[in-house]
Amino acid sequence: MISVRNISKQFKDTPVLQDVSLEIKKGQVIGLIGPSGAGKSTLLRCIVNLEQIDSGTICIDSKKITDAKMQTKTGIVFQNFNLFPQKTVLENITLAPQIVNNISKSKANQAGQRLLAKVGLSDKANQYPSELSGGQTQRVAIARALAMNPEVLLFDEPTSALDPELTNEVLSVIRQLARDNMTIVIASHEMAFIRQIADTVIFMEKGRIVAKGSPTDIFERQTNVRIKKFIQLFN
Amino acid sequence: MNTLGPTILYLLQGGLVTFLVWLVTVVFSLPLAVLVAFVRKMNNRFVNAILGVYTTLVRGTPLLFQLIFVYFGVPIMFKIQLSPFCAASLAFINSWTIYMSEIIRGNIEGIDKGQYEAGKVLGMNYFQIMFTVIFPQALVTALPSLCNQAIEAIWGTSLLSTIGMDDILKSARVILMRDFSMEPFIIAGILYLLFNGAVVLLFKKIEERTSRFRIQYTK
Ligand SMILES: Nc1ncnc2c1ncn2[C@@H]1O[C@H](COP(=O)(O)OP(=O)(O)OP(=O)(O)O)[C@@H](O)[C@H]1O
Ligand SMILES: [Mg+2]
Repeated sequence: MISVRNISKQFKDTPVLQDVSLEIKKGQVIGLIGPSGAGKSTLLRCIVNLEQIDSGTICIDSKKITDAKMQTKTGIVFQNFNLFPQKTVLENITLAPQIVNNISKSKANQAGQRLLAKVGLSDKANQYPSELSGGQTQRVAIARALAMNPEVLLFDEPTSALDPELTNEVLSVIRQLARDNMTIVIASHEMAFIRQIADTVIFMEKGRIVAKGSPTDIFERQTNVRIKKFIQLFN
Repeated sequence: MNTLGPTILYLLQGGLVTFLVWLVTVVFSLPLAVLVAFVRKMNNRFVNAILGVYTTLVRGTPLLFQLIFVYFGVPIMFKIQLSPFCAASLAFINSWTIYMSEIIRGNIEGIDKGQYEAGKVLGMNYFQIMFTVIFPQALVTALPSLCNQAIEAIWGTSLLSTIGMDDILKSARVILMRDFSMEPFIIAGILYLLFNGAVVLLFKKIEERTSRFRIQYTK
């Protein structure tokens, strides 16, 4: 469905992505792991068109993602949430459907309430982001991204900014999405979680995809010493 | 000699002039300032150069100069008639638009770029992101500075008499000259303080109501 072909990207003179290729198939759950600075965030940001690539192509169903019409085919959940603070929880979710897709307010609200129920926050519809915990905030961010019906949802370390006791409520929402056959790419340092939900795991280092395989391949039958070390570090 | 009643009434008439000029200034310059800030944010070199020079002119000359310039200069330049009220409103709106647009611009810089990105990945265009996400937040963080500007605008009205308008201050002086008493001045001072207090209170209320919008997601 999504094909990333030979993309490269540098900031100033530093190469951050080097000749990265990747196929994302419908319903796939891809875990993206690797040391800090490997280029995981940059790769995700390129796929949602927040960064321009220097070379290569990224296509969804063979249409380039740089076309403005393609923007909502992908969605992303950021590490630091980025909810709109001046909007209520429900307004955060319904804003884009209304002004981008021209959906009526009542329809958008209905859909928004359904999404809130899905992430277990129906009672928070009229609260403001400042009144939510980190875990609740991130669940709203997930609902907001889902409101645009993206074909793939990317997660960039969705639990890194959370207190440990709040990560589970977010992870279980993501787990449920995976069960519902949502196409997902998730960059995370939560190795146990990645191992559990991903059907494909990608290990990145220094802007390159170094290894790719099933969780068993990557986590158990790993022969690459560096990858082994990295995984041990996080377990 | 009981003249307190008529004195207050006369001063209140002056107060109305002060208030009207202030109201027109604030009501028009705020949206205009948002517009100017938006235009400058588009980073068109040519437009920004012109607005930059214009901003320097406005900030580099006293308000009294601008007031006199608009009242006497503009009618000559454009061969039109300007009532003192129109001239004062134009001069004040012009000046406050520039000052407030600079404040708003500064506050836009302070908005986390993640807010822009969040709007973009949801498919919003630049215009939608600016007006539904960025400006509302910038205005909230700008409230204390905007309150200062609103108060400065009250003080600015004390210049109105120079183009022949009877504001509070002028009215107080008229009675002072007539009666040789300090009363009108004291009452005028109280009226200024009340006006000032009302503006501060108004902004406090707005700040309270928008305080829950203030939240920074930092890394
Ligand atoms: N806007 C930017 N300007 C300059 N350099 C950048 C920028 N964004 C990222 N980089 C650099 O690109 C490299 C890859 O960063 P990236 O954030 O993609 O890594 P990451 O794998 O997500 O790391 P982490 O696990 O710490 O999130 C890093 O060396 C980083 O310093
Ligand atoms: Mg990252």
